Amino acid sequence: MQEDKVVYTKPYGVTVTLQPQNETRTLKARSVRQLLNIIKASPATVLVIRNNELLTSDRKLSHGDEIIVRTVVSSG
Amino acid sequence: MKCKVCKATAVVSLPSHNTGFCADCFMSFYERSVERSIRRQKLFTFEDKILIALSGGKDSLACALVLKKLGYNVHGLHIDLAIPDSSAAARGVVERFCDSHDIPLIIKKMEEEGLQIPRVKKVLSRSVCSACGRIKRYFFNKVAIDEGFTVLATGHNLDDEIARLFSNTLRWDIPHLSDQGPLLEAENGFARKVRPLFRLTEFENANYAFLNDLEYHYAPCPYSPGATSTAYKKLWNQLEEEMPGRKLAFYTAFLAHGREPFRQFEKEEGTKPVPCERCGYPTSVGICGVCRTRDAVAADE
Repeated sequence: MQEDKVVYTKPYGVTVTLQPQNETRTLKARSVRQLLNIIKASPATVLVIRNNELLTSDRKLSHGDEIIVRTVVSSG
Repeated sequence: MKCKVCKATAVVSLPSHNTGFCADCFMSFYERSVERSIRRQKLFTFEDKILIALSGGKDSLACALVLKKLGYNVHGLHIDLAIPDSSAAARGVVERFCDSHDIPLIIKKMEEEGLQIPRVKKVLSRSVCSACGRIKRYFFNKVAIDEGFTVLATGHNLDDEIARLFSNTLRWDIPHLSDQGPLLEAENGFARKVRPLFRLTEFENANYAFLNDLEYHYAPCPYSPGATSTAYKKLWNQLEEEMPGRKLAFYTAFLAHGREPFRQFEKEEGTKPVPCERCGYPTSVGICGVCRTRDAVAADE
């Protein structure tokens, strides 16, 4: 009897690490603006970083991108 | 989005200025903005010996870096608050920053002063944030005066200034409304205080720090949740998103039209600081808040 072949693939989307919490999520977002809408962050309160480059809200994202979203609002 | 100046791909978008910049042009914009603030507000000159309070956060490090790049005579001061899981990391960041940018650094350890923040928190019945702020201001001033600095600079940004102004306005706190601004002249035992980043937002400082490859301490203080300034900043960021430029307009209009009447009123009706009976630091009456806190910590031992 032939066993079913199981293929594990990464889910479609971009991997987002939220700082300073250091939480990582995979999201389906085609642009920085979409990504920020999903995580409910205002563009003026976070740095969006891909490969050590800052991205503005109008930049496109691709499957497999690894993005850091770093909150800039200091507390206290 | 394209850079307003050179048309390369923008890396920073600034809706409040209705523009965007590439990395190099943003840094020029940022440095010119600081230069203009220093010049227009007459904050200090190249002859001044400037002490910068360095917490390890993006704002204070950006402030020190930009002043150093502009050619000012800067020294750093770090207050080690002895907060577990926070202070050692912040201090390490400041030490590495000063070392790599050739900035002399003074470190004041609160453990040696009997004012380590966890102990202060234990003896207080209210939030520790205001006591911590008072202790830091006390030592910023003390070191500036004791060590002969002509100017004390902090990395307070537009968001800090707006949150404070908003808080003071909600309470119509005349003494605080009378002395809020980017420059406080030296008087009554206080050093000359300046805030060169008062026109720049946290977002702009974070971008400047990132583009200069600054390692900075961004983990929040473990004691800060619930701080009112955080709630005010959130509120103002929502307003700014709806109406870009409103923060700067509110603040600069206060400096131009709002502050002077409060200053006049305070000059006529306010109380003049007197030296603390214990340490000589200016206070409203008797023994200052820091000496009283130190006594409370010692009594709790």
